[in-house]
Amino acid sequence: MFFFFFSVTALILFGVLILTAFMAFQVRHSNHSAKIKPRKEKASLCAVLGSGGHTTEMLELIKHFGDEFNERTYIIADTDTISEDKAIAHEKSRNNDKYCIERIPRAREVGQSYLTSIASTFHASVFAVKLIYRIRPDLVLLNGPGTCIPVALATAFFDMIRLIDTVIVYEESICRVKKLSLSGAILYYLGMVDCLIVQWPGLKRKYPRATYIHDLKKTQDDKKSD
Amino acid sequence: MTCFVTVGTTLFEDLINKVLSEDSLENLKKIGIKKILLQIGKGNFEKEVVDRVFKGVAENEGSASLDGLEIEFYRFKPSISDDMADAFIVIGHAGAGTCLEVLALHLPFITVTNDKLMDNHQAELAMQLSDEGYLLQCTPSTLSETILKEELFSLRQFEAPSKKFVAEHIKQMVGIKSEGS
Repeated sequence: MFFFFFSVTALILFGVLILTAFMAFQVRHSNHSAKIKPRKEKASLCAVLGSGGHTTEMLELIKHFGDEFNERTYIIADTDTISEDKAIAHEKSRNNDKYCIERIPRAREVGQSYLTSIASTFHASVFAVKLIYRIRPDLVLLNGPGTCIPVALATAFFDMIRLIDTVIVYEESICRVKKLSLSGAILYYLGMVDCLIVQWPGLKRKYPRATYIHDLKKTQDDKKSD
Repeated sequence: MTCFVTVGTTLFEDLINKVLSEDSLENLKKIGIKKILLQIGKGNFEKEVVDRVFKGVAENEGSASLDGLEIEFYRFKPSISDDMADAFIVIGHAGAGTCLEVLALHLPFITVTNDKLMDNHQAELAMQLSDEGYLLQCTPSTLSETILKEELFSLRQFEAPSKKFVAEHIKQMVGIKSEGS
């Protein structure tokens, strides 16, 4: 009898703990709260490269980062060699050799069924947890491929237990006009990302917590004129 | 005055056949096209088109001339950007990569949606871009009329959203001193 009550109480307390950690995480990572972060000179970056168009779009964004991100890690799905070549070519073009490429098993192949993709996502998550624990990035960039879910979950987990302090940014592809992609929607509804960037006004109307890419330009122009 | 036609890596035989149909050729001539260059991908021309345009022979590449129109085609090239840049108008499949590449060049552009494909989510982007007046959209059966639309030469110029501001925003969130501040 005592044991029964003990385990129920323990379970409830554990639930409360998890919930508190999750809520604290969401407050820390919500777009609305003004954040006072320690100013850093250098930061480490971790980008998940998908396939084809996703990689092109991601490198388009990474092009605008300079030496302030001096440690770079590219996470690439196991079977993808084109993305690897593109990432290497990009780093060569800016004469940087301080980067590494990590491989992760695919979470979901295009067209795989939802049931088996849960199993393979779990497999990929184990990899992602080990990987994020080792590299401890300051910034994680995601933009759509299935691989990005385990990486986001692993990062959020370590952030929740306060082992790392990481900004997670998800940029939705320009191809998405009316609906977020599956990865984007999962991260949006779980509140896992600090900033979810969308490129069409229709998406901003449907998902109000997202950031519309043209609004960023406006806010930064305003700041300059102040 | 070249019209460049591209299907990317897809199989889209309807498009390449319709471009070389009599109606379309007539209308292309009306807007001043002198040469048609086609990138046909994996598809093949219909027998009727092969007979009428290429006089019965059409393999992996070839050329022909028909009533003052020069017609050339090939299957794939490592890079089609040069052909695209030289074109006067572009007719292409509704793939996202193709759309953005052509719009960056500010060329008059017609996308042809493959209406035989179910759930073609790539076409979503083309649809949005045509709603906002950056390009014209049609299906293979309406292609020849679309070529004559006046809007083709008064399309809005598309500016892809600059990633510079996104990068700047991200730096602020991470808490890195940017050069400006």
